[in-house]
Amino acid sequence: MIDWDGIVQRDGPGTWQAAWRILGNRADVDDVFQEAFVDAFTYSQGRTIANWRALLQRLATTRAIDRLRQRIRRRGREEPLVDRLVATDLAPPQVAQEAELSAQLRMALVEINSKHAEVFCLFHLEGWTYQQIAEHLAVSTDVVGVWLNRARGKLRELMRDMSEGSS
Amino acid sequence: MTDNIRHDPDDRLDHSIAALRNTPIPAGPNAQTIAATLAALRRAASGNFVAPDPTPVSSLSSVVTLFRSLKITVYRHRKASAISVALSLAIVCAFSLFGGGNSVSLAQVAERLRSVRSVTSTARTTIPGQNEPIILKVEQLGRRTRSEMPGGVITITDQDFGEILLVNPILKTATLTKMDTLAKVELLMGPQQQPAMPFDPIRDLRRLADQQGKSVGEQRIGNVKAKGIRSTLDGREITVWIDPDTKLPLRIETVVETAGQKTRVTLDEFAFDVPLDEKRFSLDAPPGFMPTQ
Repeated sequence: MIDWDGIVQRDGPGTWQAAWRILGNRADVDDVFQEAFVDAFTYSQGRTIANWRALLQRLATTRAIDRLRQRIRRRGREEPLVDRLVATDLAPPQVAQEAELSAQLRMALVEINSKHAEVFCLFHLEGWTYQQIAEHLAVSTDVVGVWLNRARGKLRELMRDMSEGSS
Repeated sequence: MTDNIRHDPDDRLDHSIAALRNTPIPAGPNAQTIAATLAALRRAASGNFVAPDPTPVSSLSSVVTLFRSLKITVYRHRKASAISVALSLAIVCAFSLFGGGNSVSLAQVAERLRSVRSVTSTARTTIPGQNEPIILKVEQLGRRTRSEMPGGVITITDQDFGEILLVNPILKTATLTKMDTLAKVELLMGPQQQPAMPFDPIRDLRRLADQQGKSVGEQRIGNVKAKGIRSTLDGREITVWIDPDTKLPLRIETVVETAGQKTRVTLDEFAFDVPLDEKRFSLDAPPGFMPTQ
């Protein structure tokens, strides 16, 4: 019998935060959070899960990228998520600049291969190692490295285009 | 292959990664989200899984505080606008009062609503001291909601954009407000556990699956002998009248507290999956209206 209450209490915050880094919007993150746990339930049937936190973070990351893709396709762009009350004249310019950069990265993320985006997020945002990612995706660390480099190359290219387009 | 990635602080990509990673993050899900997630897991475990359903988000207390924050006291026209927003949110919250527990009938309603894309309904709100109820026409298409008051004040909420547009035909203004701004206002207004969230009647109605209801008999609504189920949440009583054949709600009754007053809200005349024009949910100011923020 799986102790879901315990797992939600223990690993819920990390799972939720993984989705937040990608989405930055509570409504979307709440949706993704629940979806990730239901995915984990389905995945765990007939299996023994050694590391719930890692599984949930990965599922939340995948779901969050999907949600981000839907959101941006519908809106056409990603708004910089600067707190409106903070983003007044009192806000330092770099806050707005960082929000703009985050928005550009989010927009670029949905344009690249889903698997590459997942590896990118797990490595750069969640701090996973190549080895951890490789184990969870059932690929070699070499493959992880290739995917990550492809993700970075494509993202850099996309962000350069965005930057030139906005200047 | 190693984990070595050379980071260049001047690199736009690395800068954006750092920006995203360093963004302040809330501590985690709120109690409602956790409860809804556990309920979804219980449903999955019992084989009565409805959908990887979103979490209950909007709270009645949010509306109460928002209502207060709108300060509906100064000008009549402003008052109408504030009432429109507050009532719209209150009405939508009426949908969101369902959560926790198990009921076969309500689970069936949730299952029927699973594939619903659009809903129209009529909301009647009776404020103490006023004889006539305020009637709003409510439409929802996906994650967008439009409600219209007598006199033509229109409120449009768009969860994807996270924005609310208030169109006032008397002042000829179209005021666009960020939902998160409203949430912050709410936080400043009083001791709230969580900020206000987007509103989604369809999604919230799906959560009927978790509701532990008590039968309150039957009532004829139109040509249908509807079955009533009543429950309470946080001390508030909610009654939903269900068509036993279609398993869809015919009427929802509840009492919401706004600005310290108890307002009775009844939603009925539901129509599901009716064609709705996307343009009716636009956040752009209508021609001839002054856009304000």
